Amino acid sequence: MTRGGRHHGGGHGQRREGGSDMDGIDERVRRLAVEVCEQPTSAPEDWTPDGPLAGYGFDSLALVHLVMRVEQEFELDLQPEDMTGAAFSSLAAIGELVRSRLA
Amino acid sequence: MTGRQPVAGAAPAVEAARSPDAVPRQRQVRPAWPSVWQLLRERAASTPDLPYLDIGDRSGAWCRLSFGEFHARAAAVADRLRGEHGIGHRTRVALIARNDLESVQALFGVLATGAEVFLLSPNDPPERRARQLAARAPNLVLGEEAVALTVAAPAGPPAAAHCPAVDSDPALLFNTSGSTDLPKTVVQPHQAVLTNAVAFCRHHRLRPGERLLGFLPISHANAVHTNLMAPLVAGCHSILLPELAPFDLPRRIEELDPRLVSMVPSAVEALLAVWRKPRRPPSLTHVLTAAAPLAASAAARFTALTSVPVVQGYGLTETTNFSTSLPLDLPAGAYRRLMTEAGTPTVGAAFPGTEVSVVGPDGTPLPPGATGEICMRGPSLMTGYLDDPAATAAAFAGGRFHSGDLGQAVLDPDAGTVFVLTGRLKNIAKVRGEQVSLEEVEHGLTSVGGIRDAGCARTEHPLDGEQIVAAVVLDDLPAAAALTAAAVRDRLRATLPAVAVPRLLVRVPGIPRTPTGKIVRPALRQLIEDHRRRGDQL
Repeated sequence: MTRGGRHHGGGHGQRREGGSDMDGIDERVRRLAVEVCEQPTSAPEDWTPDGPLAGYGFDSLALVHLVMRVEQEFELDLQPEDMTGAAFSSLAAIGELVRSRLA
Repeated sequence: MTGRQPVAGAAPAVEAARSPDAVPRQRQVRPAWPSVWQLLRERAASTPDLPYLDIGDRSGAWCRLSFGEFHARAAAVADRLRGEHGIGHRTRVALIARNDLESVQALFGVLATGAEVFLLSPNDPPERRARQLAARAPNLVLGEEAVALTVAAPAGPPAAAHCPAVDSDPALLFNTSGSTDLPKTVVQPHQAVLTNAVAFCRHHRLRPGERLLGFLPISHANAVHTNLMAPLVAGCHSILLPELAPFDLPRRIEELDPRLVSMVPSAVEALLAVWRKPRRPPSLTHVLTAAAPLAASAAARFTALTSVPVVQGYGLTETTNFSTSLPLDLPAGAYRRLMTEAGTPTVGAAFPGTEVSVVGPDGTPLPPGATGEICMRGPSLMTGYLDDPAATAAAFAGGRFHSGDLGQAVLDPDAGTVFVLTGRLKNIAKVRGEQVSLEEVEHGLTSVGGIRDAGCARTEHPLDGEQIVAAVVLDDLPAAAALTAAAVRDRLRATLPAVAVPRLLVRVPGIPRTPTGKIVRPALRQLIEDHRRRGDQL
């Protein structure tokens, strides 16, 4: 298990540059989000990276489900300070969290 | 305004089932007050300065009220209801209740007048609410209007008006899932409310000043009784959050240091997922979960993570709140045997004031180990379903209330007689702790243009407990072929609660039915699974 914040060095090549998704993390996060949102209120193709997930049909339990899937997918062990509504408020925010914990 | 006539003498079966003497003498509960309002008056007189309620109001402010302050505010609301709206004994007030101060004040203000409160969820779709209001014809509907009744700081001492409602007069009305468009409405009398609240305090050994943390909606029975009524009896301090906010809950529990947290299994699962490095607050003796079956693995993971025991209870709106609960202070071995290492965790032993039995199809009680229907007796029971004597008679057949749940009694050396639930007679799913009637969803689906027939099943879900999945048979029309899942769900959302809208919709050639037209449930579940695998999603 990767412990967030403990591993240093490496991984710089995976950082997002100029908004592109060179490491594929954003795409994987989006796939997980589509999977757990069982009652989307808008088509997943229309979801923007910075749009609020709450506005796409994610309620609090769907967001918790997303936390669980993100940890499994990226083999992360998120910390108490990561467990905030803000960290899981948008696809971009989740992508940033994942990158910072993999770095 | 027309006063309602008292309910005609309850059927003998209901009276027999509700008798205090239906319960063994040493486990009887006889509340000392004739009405909920009298309880609040006496509590306000005996411990006026103890804190009763921490809750938000509609302006967004977080409020703390003592028993004395809360009583004065509710009395002021009652004065306005009497004076401006003619509300009194044998009238009915519908309350669209949120977890906020205005709703709680309105609830007790209505009870003070002697009227009955019909609780409605703010999340009901408009069509559904309109149907319920038309059918139950309240004298007054309080939604946003509850705010207008609020008297911020009542002048002078509260009116000494005596509450005219007593004992078996209706206090609270709640909807429960039915098999048609219109849910059945459970009538809970004052005596049932008080009996169950006294039993709750006795079982959990609540002491004055102890804190109870809750977030379940007060439009449902569990939160009204657990988070509002029980604290009145015990003199406890209730902290009622507006809703389940999983990311904030760990911090709330650690900071508020409650004696007890009231949960449902999906909240336990959510808390397990987000509570990292928990610090068990010193006052917290256990968390309470009810409304849906808790998995043994969830109980095991929760106690391993937090070292806090999970106490499972069981009851229905028809039995007011709890009918059974796990005994407290079990030896560690017994807790493991009955909860965390059990195939099916027990729902515990009969609550004080309630007799629980397992009966066979002919109505005779069965010995421990035999599977039958769970039945209850005692004064915690409802007086019946509103305006539905046939459903009431069926529910109370043979002088017992029939839960519709299947289970067995288990004789445990440490816990005594405890109960394990094994299935359901009724086609009910429990999604996030809310009951959903499969027939009601099927009825909703076949009301959608283009759907000729439909069948629903429940499947497991990691957070919601159960979810609804559905098979639909489409009409042979071009318009039906163009029907999308999104369009069907939109249509259902207009008439059904969100938890009842199926997560999965598959297209099938036909619904498996018996010659008399009943759905063959096991075959339907298999059919839905087969078509899901084949990618036949609508």
